[in-house]
Amino acid sequence: MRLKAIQSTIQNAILKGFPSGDVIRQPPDQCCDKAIGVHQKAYHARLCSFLRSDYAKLYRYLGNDSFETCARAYADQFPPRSANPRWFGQAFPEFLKSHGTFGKLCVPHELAMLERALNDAFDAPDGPVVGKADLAKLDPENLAGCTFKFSSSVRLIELSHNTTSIWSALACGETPPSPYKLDTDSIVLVWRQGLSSRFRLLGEQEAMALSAMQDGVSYPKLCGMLAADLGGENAAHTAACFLRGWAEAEIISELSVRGLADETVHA
Amino acid sequence: MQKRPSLGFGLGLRPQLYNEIVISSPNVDWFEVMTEAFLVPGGPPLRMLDAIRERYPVVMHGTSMSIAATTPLDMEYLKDLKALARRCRPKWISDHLCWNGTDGIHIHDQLPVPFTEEALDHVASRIKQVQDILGTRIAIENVSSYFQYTESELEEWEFLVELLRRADCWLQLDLNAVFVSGTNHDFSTFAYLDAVPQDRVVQLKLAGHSKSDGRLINTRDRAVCQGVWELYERAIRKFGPISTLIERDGNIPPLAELVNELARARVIAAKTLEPQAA
Repeated sequence: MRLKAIQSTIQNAILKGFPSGDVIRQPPDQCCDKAIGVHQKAYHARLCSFLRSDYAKLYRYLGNDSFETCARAYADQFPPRSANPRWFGQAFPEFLKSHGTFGKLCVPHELAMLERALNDAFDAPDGPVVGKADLAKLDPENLAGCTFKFSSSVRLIELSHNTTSIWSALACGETPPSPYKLDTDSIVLVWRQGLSSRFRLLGEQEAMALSAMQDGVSYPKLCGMLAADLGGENAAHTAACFLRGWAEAEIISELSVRGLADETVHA
Repeated sequence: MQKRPSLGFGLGLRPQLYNEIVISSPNVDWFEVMTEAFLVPGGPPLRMLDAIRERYPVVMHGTSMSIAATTPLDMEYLKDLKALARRCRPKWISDHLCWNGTDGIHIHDQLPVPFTEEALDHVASRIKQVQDILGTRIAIENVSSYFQYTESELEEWEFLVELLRRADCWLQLDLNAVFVSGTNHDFSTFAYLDAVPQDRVVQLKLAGHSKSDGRLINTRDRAVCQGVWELYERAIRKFGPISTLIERDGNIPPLAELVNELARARVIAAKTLEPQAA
């Protein structure tokens, strides 16, 4: 038998329980199933451990048995295709949205979404940081031509339930509160600051402002957008507060000042 | 072939140990880093690697090259691997003599190779291809096995010796894997050791194993057993001073416990080499 056929036979035996035929030499205990079983057990245990490590709060929330059932179903539907285990669980949140019992519940899906965002922020590409001191150096008149770029760790996710409270309780080893639906969906900012991933709930206006500026909206245009709700003077003050908060959180990676000479300044 | 100088006595670097290593600078001569843990875009893992790299020599050890698979080499993986090697300048790069999956699936397990002429040709040519891409000679590590192929025509050590010659690569000799496979398949671990060419071996690896369903399993989740220590002593007698590593993947104890275990390797090596030095 050729090497390729041998490998396909062994893989099918491990993943699908197909017979390995005469590919395996009869072991001393006369049991080829036990020999393949070592790899079958290792396969499922390993994939489950990848997911457990990526979705530790969800694991605590669901408990071992439910989590393992879910993990196994996920592995069957999305067998690992990347050489790097880091990416195996990327589709887990979406899978939970439609998987059996959990598909009817929003919190497992949302918890997984939050954890994936935190993981992605954790090892997102490094980049420059525009801090408060950099902003302070900026001539207020130049703000009129400013656009901003944000850290690649920044993610905005939308949650319909009290998922962040559940996450926080689980993180402290406490019993999580009962799940409930929020009156209005919340937007959560996830990012990395220093060596840690963080998240915080954004108000409606800050979420709109951050999203717009991520899309390249300039500072004066943002003030104009906020003015519709807050009036001109309040809008400028609010926009400045947002900017200061983002600089403190270290999520601004670059600012460009386009003045009369169309000059671009990178922090 | 010129023998590689010994790096001394090292440990497998695991995330649970990062902080303690940076804070306490333990008595460890070098670290083996798990390649895949650092194949990420950025963030704390890479910063930690940089910090450890500043203090200690490192070796990059991967689990996902799938060198014996019949599917094409994963060029994306190799590109990332090369970029990581440029960043951390390892003393050498290693991966396992195994396949990790086929038909587009990566099962994250180290499956043994049938010891056939076809596999020899195939694996040797893939190792050469990888060495060309990376621009350096790599080391291949033997794996534990829980079954044997009907098609195998050679003993594992015969296959390995010929592979090292054809591929012109190094060997990272996992003594625990030799012990586990030797017990499972009832072959002489001493015969294995005696067959391995001295000038190809860059590292000896020590780890613990467990027993399940009548087989030894290379779980690397406990201390090195007496049988593996005995094999180590014999290996040191044959290979002389050589980079030695203790690897722990599960039930990772406090760093001090691993450093103590490493001290045992130091003592065995020193005692074994004493008469030769006299």
